[in-house]
Amino acid sequence: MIRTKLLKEHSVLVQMLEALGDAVIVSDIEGKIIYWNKQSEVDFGFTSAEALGNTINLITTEQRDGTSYAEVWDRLLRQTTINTEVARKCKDGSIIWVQVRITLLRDSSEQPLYIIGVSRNVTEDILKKNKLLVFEAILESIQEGVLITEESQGGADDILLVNKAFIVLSGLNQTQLKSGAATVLKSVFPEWNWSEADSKSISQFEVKRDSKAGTRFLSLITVPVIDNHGSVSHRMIMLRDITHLRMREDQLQIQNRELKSTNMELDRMVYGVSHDLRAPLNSIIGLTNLMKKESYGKEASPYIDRIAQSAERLNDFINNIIQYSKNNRKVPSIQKIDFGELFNISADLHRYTEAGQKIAFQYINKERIVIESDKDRWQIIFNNLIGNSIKFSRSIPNSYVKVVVTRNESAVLVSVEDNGTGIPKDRMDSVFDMFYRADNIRSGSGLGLYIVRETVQALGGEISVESQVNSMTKFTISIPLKATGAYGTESYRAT
Amino acid sequence: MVKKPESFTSNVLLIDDNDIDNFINERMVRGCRFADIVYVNTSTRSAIEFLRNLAANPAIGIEHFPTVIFLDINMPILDGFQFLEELEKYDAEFVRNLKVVMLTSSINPEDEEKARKSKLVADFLHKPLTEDSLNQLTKQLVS
Repeated sequence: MIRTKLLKEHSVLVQMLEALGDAVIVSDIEGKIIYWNKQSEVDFGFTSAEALGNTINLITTEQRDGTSYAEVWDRLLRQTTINTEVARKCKDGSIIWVQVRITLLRDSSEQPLYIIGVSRNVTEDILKKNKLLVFEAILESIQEGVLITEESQGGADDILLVNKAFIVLSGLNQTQLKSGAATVLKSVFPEWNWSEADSKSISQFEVKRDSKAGTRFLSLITVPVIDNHGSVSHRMIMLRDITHLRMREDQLQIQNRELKSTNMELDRMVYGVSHDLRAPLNSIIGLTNLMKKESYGKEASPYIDRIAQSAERLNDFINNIIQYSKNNRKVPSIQKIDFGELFNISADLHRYTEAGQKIAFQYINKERIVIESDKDRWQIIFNNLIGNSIKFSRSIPNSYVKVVVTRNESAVLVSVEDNGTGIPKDRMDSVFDMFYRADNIRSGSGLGLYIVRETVQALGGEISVESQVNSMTKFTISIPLKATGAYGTESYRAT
Repeated sequence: MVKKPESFTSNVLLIDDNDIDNFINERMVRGCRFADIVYVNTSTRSAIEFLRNLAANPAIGIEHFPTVIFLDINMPILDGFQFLEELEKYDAEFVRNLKVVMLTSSINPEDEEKARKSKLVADFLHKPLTEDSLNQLTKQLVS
């Protein structure tokens, strides 16, 4: 009604209001909306028809601020015009921020007549402002010093922003901050290569500061901010105290050096002791070899054989102990593993021995699988498993030891199989135990399979065994393709 | 068993501070007919002196000079490696034809690595010296 009347009476004026970019809302003194322009529809979502007749409380929101109609009215009577920023509730429930100018219109006898609200949606500006406030709060609370400069013509850059931490870490004072950024930074950090920092790339350097409190190390990083035109508009300079980091690093390096030298000493000791233990033993073995060769009659030969066997046994034991000691401390050297080559080296160690001559050596790697791993550790595994197969072979015509390399979806599988004496069921669980010997006829240190399992585990894999007495024994090593740690087999390829 | 080629002859110099090992090595080398002449020295010092005297005496023909040296590593005063260095410095006709075979109880891979770097070293063997290793060595030296 009122709108129609208004339209008629002030059609030009109303057309102007409708075309305005600001939301214009007119209410009577009770707060009932009597006019609602186009922009109001846009800003608040209610059509003119929906809004008319409601009070202004339609769009006020009490949780956000206290500008309910009643309060506004109270203030209007006192000051006629209110300029404020308030939250408004839209039809879809969302909250927007508006800058509003509310005016009380009075008639000729000074009686309040209408309330006119003219508002502009400033939600985006408010959000930006809030964001900036958050950023500033973060900048002030972090331990890294931050200084942002604004590039200007002629190189006299201005300092746009500097946080507390930067001032504390750099030792800047307020007077210094008033001069250009370059001047300030050069005076505080003469080590800074300005031309490098001037470039469009990130630059970093470390400085050392001696003070009464001790030496401190600072890391300075400059990050250029490139604008749409490809030129540097701002530069962020970050300052960080890395004293603790540096100290830890130094400490680590010292510890690492010490460890390395201890390890080397241990190596020397292990080899030295092994040499001194083995030298007389090798003399005994050498002498028994000679006695056998030069044949000292039938009566002596059983004795010679037993001396030789005992000496060999002691020799094996020493070798195993050394291998175990080395294996535990060995730094891995990752390289391409050619299983065929490892197999040949192991086979050659045994091919010409008495037992080895009676055995067929087979190697099968149909997919020609190659992995990257620790070669020396694999050689230990092959030597021990192939050696065992020969040691526990039966004196039958078709004795064999067979190494097969295959893969499934997740792992590379290497198996060593023989048709030897096999392992009794009740001893299967213990074969990998330290110093366990499943056989009391053949000599052994009880360390071989223990070392094998330790080595396989060091490579990130697992070993399992299946066996049948006087039929077969099969050890299977499984190394996951995606073995974690340094022993990645990701480079696995089947060519 | 590795068969020994028929045509191989050599003169051997054994250097080891252990008498028992020298005894074993000499008997093994002779027993396997690896060498016609076997010289034995119980120290690197005396070995150097022996070689020097040999070279200084014009009455001794080249056919009497050692062609293969079996060299221990762990020895007092001058060890095997130091002896190798001395030998490399020694410029004489017979040194150029010399083959050194390291013969040791050491299983330190660094020792083998170090030995293999020397031009004079033909092989690296672990004690004890056996008929098999001698035959294999013969094959290698002939080729």
